[in-house]
Amino acid sequence: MATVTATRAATRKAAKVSERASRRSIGRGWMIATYVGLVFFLLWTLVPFLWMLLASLKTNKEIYDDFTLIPKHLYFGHYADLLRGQGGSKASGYFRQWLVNSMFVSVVVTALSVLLGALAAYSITRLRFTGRAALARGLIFTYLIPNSLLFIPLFTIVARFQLVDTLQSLILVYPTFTLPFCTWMMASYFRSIPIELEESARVDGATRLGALFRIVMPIAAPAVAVVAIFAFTQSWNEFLYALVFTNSLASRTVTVGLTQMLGEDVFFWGQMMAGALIAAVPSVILYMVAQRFVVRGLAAGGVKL
Amino acid sequence: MARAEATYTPKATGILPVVPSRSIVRRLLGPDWRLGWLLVCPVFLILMALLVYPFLDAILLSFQNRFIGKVGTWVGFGNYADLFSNPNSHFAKAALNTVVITGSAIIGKFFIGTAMACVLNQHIRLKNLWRGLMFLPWAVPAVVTAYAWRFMFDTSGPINGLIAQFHLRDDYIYFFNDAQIALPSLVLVIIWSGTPFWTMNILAGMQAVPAELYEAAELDGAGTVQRFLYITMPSLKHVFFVTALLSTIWTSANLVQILVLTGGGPDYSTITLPLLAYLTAIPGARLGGGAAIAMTMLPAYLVLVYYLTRQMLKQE
Repeated sequence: MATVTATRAATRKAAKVSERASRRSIGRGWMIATYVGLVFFLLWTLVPFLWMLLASLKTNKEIYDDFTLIPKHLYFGHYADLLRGQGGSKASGYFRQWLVNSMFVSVVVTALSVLLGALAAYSITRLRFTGRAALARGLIFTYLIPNSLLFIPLFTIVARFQLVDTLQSLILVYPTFTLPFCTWMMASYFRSIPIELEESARVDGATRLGALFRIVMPIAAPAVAVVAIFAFTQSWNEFLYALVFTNSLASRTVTVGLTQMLGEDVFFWGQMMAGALIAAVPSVILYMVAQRFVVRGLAAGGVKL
Repeated sequence: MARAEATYTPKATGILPVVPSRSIVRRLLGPDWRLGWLLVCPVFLILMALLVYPFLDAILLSFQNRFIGKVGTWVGFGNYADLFSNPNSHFAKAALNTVVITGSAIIGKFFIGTAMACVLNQHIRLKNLWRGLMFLPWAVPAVVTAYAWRFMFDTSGPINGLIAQFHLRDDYIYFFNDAQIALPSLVLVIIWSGTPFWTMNILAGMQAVPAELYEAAELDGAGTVQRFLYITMPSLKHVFFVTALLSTIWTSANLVQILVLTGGGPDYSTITLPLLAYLTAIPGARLGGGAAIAMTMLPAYLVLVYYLTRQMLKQE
């Protein structure tokens, strides 16, 4: 623990030194350029989101008949319709079901990925056996196989198990992208935990698994939390597999469900934007929680994933 | 790594009594092989069954004529021959579009991502807030932002709204009905969605550059531009390399934005290989044909993955 605190203090000090260095070095002209860039990039990033938010609060008349940028009155009808299970198109009646489906799949997949990933990561970092280096490398390879190469053969597997149009098919398939990542991230964190802590516990009679769950996992709790957040968001945001493996309105996840709201000739933009924003909420909340780990985590691990 | 751990073995630390292992099994498979394999087993089996096997199966599938729900028949290179000889396969168009869209998106993400990282690396007020906001496109589902953009470009969207308001044109711009405009608009959205990943990596790389380098350069009288060109950029070489390869794999494989914005149209002018594979295999029910289209991307992926893993493992 003491060493961890010491290194943290050292990095903070290093950060301050570099802060001083760059503050001294950048000229006034460049500082103005920085702020111009900041405003530009904020607009570039946020205009689509703002438009989505504003549109979701307009009445249909404001959207289609008279063009307005900002709604005159805030209209929450689109949100209310969706959450009450009503709406302009047939598909939007299923919106609540889609949220429940997404939540169910994401929670189950996250729990599985964290548990199985932790076991594998412990094994790879702490136990000595033939083949573990190859396993660690294999994880990177599996992480890099793009889903567009896999969805067709996976569809035949899902069909063979008679799981087409079920949420189980997604629970079966989503670990293919969460597990390599979770295992890899936890392995790199476990490596930073001093092995002596575990050894003293084992001298006191703890088993290997006891050491993992009582010593390693509690120390790694922040990393486990971040890994869980990543697994959840990845599952929640997933699109292609959910599109291919489900086909009835009742079994869609929310990302695919949104595309079903397009269907007819008339686009219910207000309602679709409201739906899109609701679908983004869980990811945004978790992202805010994990945000400070994102850059730091990438910096700590290099860009090693 | 093996050496570092050797010093931690009970023998070296002297904590546990030394029990030399004489069994051949243990010597061959390692001292902890039973528990080691047991713990890795679930992940190993899942990845073998659902990643490695389907991957190999896709190769076999691409040589078959297989419809959803039917048993396949072996057709050799039939599916591939059809792609190249049949003008209705749209394969050439899809391959060209995949290269054009991926290439221009990567270039765009490189420049915008670098500029964004430079801004966020300065000492500005509320830096963490700006950073959090600029990474939003990365955090939310791609479908959500693809919809936001579809509405942005729609006839009742803000761009056409402003054009009508200020009488800039007599007619709306139908962004996704015109092949000339559809492709660049699509690339813009793909760049917008993928830039945060670049910014994140470049920013992390910038923060890892030792401050001494900048101090030394400053003593030598290097200006801001020179320091950026001769210290920052060379230090980021590895980051750029890895990010570019990862981004190439994911951009070329992704079909969310294209499916939501154009669906490959108008008249296949924005079709890409993953989208064509999807349309052939799932709505078109021709699994073998779809697998063949997906497999044409495999050689390129193998090259990318080879360089990427080599670089990533080297750094470890």
